[in-house]
Amino acid sequence: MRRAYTAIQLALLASMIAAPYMLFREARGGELLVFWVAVALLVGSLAVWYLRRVAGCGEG
Amino acid sequence: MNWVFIAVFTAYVLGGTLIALASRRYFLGTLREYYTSGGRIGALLTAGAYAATTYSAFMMIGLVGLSYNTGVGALGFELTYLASTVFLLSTLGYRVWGLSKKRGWISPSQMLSDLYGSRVLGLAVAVVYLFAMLPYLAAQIQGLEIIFEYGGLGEGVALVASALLIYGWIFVAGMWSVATTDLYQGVIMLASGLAYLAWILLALIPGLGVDLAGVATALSSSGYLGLTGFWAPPVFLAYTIPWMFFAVTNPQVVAKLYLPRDGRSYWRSVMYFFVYGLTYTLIAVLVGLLARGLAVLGRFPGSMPGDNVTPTLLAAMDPLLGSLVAISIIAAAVSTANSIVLAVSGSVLTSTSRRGNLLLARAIDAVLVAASTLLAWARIGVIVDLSVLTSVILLPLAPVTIAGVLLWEKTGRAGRLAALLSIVSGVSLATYYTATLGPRKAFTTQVLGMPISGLALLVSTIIITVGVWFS
Repeated sequence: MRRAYTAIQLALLASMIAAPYMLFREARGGELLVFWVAVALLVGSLAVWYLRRVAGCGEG
Repeated sequence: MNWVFIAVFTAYVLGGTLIALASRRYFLGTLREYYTSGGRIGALLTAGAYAATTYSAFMMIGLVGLSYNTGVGALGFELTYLASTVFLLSTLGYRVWGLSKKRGWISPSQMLSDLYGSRVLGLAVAVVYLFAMLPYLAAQIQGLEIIFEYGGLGEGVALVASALLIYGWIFVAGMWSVATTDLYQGVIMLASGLAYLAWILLALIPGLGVDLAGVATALSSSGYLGLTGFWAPPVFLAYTIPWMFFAVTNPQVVAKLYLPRDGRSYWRSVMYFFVYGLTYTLIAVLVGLLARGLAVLGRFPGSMPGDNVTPTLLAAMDPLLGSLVAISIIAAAVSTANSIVLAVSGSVLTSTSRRGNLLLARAIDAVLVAASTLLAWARIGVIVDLSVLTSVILLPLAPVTIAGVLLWEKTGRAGRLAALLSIVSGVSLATYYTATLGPRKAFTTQVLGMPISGLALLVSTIIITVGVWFS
């Protein structure tokens, strides 16, 4: 689980850097703003979920 | 003299001082309490301390200006930082927190020294912190002068007020007064940021005879909602790489990992910090983008240094709102600066003395604040320029910290030597290019097809990997 989590998060982080140049190079209408906010939200939600459910700090 | 500003500033100082004094009841008077609150802090205080420390005056001055000048790419750079920080907090940070409970660390250099079993390494890290953080502190204090100017206060008052605020709220109860005033300042920063954005949306834009749809169309047609020429891939990497590792390289935030009292406080603090960071980042970037949109429509100056955007907008606001936003920028700088002083002071103390005491800790704090204030006063350009490279100079600490935490007690003699070499070589590389090219040019210059930050990170990673392998 830990390895899968790390791999997914690293892929999401890499996409924040690479995707704008590969997929949104011509975008001008706010797509980039939506993309970066959406991925950041995904990374943050996954991190909190991981800490609570997997890393074991949900119970105090 | 702007008397509204003076009144709001006085209220801010009084409020913070009362909070700092109230926090003394929790302070048990030990050195560990002074530097880490004894690891007894709850989620809200930890998150407030982390957020206010991380987000400096750069957000409402630098990031607003960067968005105004370069478009939405600034959001990508800042959100990549936030996402990578939250990822690091959920993995490595949680492990550091757990180990800090067992080992009783009070400073990041002591942590590295303990992880590798080397006092020399701790000393080297403390020296790197001094080298990298003093210019950064001086730049924070110098930046505050612009805001005090808004209140009609001169350079001397600005320097003295900044130094007293930074030192005073540390002196009262160490981390307890820093964390409580950080939360207070974090609330001011977010509330004022929201008011700032609301003023642009509800007062400035309609007042200039345009609407939001028109501003958005202007931004889109001028390309500022896409990747502008500024954000070439190497430049994006030059900005992003040092910040992606901020959570494990900068002592003021590493030291915050020792604060939460239990696991529940830890994950909640990460969640609160994330929500705060996302909101605050969006506010700063939207303010900059809206200012650019107005400039495209000819309703706002179109070519000005980025750092002047917020001061220009402040001058157009109602004095009360302008003063609130100005105070929030002071709060952002003070909350960052006193955490830096505390973290560097703890590192110097634990690296040079086996038996520190509170008197010595407070004396080191005073020396650090005085030295950075003097540097700010002397206006030595290269010193302040050096602050641009602070994150690059600290970058070699990332692989060393990651390897040390993951391989604790398995680093061995070769690992110790590699950690030291890794830091020395990475810092030397960054310093060499700074000296030969100048800090600002060195930041975006490419060597071997990558930014200096990438090269420093690569070299230090290779060295530590080889060292750990041989261990």
